[in-house]
Amino acid sequence: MAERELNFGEALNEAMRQEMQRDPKVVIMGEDVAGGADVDHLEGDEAWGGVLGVTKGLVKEFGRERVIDTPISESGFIGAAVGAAATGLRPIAEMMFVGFMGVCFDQLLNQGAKLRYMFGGKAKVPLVIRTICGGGYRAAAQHSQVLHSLFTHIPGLKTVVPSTPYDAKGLLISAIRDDDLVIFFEDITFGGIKGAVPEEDYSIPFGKADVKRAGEDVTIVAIGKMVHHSLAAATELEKQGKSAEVIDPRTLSPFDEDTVLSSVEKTGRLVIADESHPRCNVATDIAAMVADKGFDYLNAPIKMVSAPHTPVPFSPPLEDHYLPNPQKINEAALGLF
Amino acid sequence: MSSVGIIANPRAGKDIRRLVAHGSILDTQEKVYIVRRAILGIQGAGANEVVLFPDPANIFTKALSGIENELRLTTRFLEMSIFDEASDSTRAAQLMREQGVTCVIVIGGDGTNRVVTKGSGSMPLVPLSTGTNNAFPQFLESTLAGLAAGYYAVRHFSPEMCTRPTKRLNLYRNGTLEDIALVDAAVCDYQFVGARAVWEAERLKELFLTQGQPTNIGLASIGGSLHPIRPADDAGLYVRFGGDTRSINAPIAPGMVVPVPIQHHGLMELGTRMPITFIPSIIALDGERELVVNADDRWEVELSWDGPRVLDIEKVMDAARQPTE
Amino acid sequence: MDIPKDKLLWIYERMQLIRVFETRVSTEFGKGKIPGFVHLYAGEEAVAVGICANLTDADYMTSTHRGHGHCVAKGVDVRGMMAELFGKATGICKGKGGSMHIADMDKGMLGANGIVGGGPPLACGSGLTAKTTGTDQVTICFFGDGASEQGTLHESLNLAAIWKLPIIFVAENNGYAESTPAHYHCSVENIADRAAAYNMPGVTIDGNDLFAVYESAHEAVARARAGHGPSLLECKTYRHHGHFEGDAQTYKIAEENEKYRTELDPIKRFKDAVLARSLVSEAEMADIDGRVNAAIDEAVKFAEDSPFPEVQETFTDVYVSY
Repeated sequence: MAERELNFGEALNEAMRQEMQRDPKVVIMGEDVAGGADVDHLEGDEAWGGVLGVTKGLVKEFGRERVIDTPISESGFIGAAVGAAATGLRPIAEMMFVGFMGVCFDQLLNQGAKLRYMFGGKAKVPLVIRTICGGGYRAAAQHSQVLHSLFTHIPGLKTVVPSTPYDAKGLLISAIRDDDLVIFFEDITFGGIKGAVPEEDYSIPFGKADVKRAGEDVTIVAIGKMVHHSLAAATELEKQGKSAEVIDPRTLSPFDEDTVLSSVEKTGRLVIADESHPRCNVATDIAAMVADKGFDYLNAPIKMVSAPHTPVPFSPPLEDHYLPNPQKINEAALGLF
Repeated sequence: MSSVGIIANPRAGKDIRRLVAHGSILDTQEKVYIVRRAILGIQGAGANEVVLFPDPANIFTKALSGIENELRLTTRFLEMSIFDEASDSTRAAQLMREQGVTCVIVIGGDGTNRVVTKGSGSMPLVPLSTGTNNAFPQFLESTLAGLAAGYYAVRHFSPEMCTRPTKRLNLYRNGTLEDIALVDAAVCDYQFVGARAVWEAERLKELFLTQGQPTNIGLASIGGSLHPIRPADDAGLYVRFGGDTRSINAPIAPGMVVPVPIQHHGLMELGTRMPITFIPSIIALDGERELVVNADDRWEVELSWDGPRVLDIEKVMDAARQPTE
Repeated sequence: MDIPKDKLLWIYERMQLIRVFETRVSTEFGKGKIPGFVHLYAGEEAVAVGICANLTDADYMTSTHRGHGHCVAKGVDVRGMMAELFGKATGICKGKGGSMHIADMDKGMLGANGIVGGGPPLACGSGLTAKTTGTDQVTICFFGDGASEQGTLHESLNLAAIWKLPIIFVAENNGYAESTPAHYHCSVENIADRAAAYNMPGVTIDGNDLFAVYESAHEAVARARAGHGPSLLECKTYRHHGHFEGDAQTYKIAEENEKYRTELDPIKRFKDAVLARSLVSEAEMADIDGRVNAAIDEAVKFAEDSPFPEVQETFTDVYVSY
């Protein structure tokens, strides 16, 4: 089938549309996912289609019973999504910004993530929570966070961080079909990213990393937006005579250890780029894993490129200083030689 | 000493009628405001003291804590233990009467007045309706009720002039007075007292009324539709329900206008005991299921003028316009 | 509505089953046979049973940390429950949940809950499922007076109201949030007063009067099934035990405690009422008592005789697939 260029949001939108067509149990719920609910002149139409327009057009096709605008009640509607998933629906809940997870954390930490285990395997929670993350939008401390590490820590949750439109569609379809609770992180700066996306539905399995660029001298494991920064860094490294392999894990829980380990076995050097804060994040987790299982492969210390242990600042020079970028990754990689 | 009492029923306005009909939820906070205004009315009339019921919902404590800066009269809580049941109001009324309280404002419905009456004796009541389903108390802004009660206490108006007698129903079990009602006693075929309210017309078997006016809501409305009896009339009404020959339309609960099949109705004479014929059954007094009628008991109902004396607000306010001697 | 005799017998049996279950749990806990901690429901039986007498297995329920009574009333097997409390492999949750997480999806029992206020959002979820899929299933959302101060409850009341979800919110107001009295922690005297703020009917009832609970639930359930939306029933009740087993309960008032254990006891009141109307005989109730005692003895024996789970069970049931 044909491949077109779609941007990141269009790819996600297509994934949801196709899954909603396929399975009547799939519903979307969240703040402004249609927008303008109960406004007479918007009968059957939307105002926003999500704060970034990702769910645009879905209410027209599927109606307000399946594209459900919620009040600004994060505990209430995320908990309702968990309860609905446990009783037979397959909700896709949109948590506008990942920082708002703080409002509903109990419903994820103590309910959604644990029901199956606490009930001895008798419940399942086929729920996807889509959420915006990442800095660079000048959105300040509460709207710019990268918190996938927090959720990766919690047993019972799966975490997905796509970096391309192709991956976004395939991973979201997998997430919707998955019987577990999946948190799906969408970088706020990805709106402009375009890429080839097949028209047909397809799924990308969880726990399978993607080698975005093959290389020989250094492995860069990069998450989300860091994939693009790492590819840019790799281009620079190439000019400096170093061949970098860029690995995108795509899902953090589950995590593809084998692809990372065999790459490090080949290159002997590892840089991990993660926009998270530096303590107890996915980068430290990967570093610990490689130190444990691939120590003998290493010719140099493992380097991590992360944001600092501060909230995300607002002022552009401060935020630019805060964020990891291609140059920082480049420097980290060069330091290993 | 000019002393006025206030009793408020914390439980009024909360029952199943909110679910099966469209009764208002009268929240406790609203009762607090009503009580505050009543106290300020009493004070405005110049009374020295207000005596308060230490209700389990702390309505009065909350009411006082909002008007401390405005209060000049003495406020005093009755010293009594509270069991959070209807008999609390009865004992409160009894204590107020014993302590020389001139009259008592009763905030609640027919049922609240009924339990207060059991202890109030000759002390006049100022019944203030707060709910949506009452015939005995009147709808009146509580400031005015307070003012009238205050004037009555301060000016020593004569009870004959400023209060009026009311009727009541006496319920006898095997010849002994067992309970009373101020407006209605309804014999129903419920199994249990349960949720207390009566809202299903098909459950009604017999009804005894002290009054029933076309402007009444609740079971008294049946009287209003059949054969109006005013509070001042020397008669009551007896109704037997059922059959398919005759039906009236009556607002037996808020928002609930239903057909009620009537088999027979007639006047109740004062002092004549009428037997309850539908047995076993549950008797609802003033709208609340109360009594369990067992198969082997003989129950009778009698109409009398032994109801509480009630302050005539208009007459008090009229009299209060005259200069004090 | 009249309660048919078989239902009266069921009600008595369930109330006794809860009471005897909880009393026995207290004993076994005292002997050190039950790990962790337990929150007992004895004294509040009329609430769970009066509500659940109006449900079917298809209806949903969310529960609380004090959930044993809800489970028994919803028909969860007492053997599996007791084994769960003992941490045994035969437990209803394979010994992985314990007292605070008993669940039985086949009975619509969506879990006891260790988080106060954790359940109401989940109830909105099962309500949403029923509404979206067009069934007439209702959801009962039990919560305590403590949870009535959690934001989750208020969010859920609002969600249920705006979406007209088939939910009956049941406030079990037993007077104390752990050791803190309701008159301190709650801004209103009656939790049901808050219903008005959420545009739904609110009723405050005597939660120790089975018939009052039954009738109110009957109406609320009918309303929800007919698509008329949620309601809030507040059942004033009292727990015979402490917040947890081992709680010295110094915050309780002696006379109050005594009164609720005697004349206000829900089972005693039920018995007196049905005997007065000759609806059930003493012999029939004695017969039920015998069966209940035997069932609980059997449940304890089953729990004691059952094996603990294999340690490998630690790693299962985290995900459906991983």
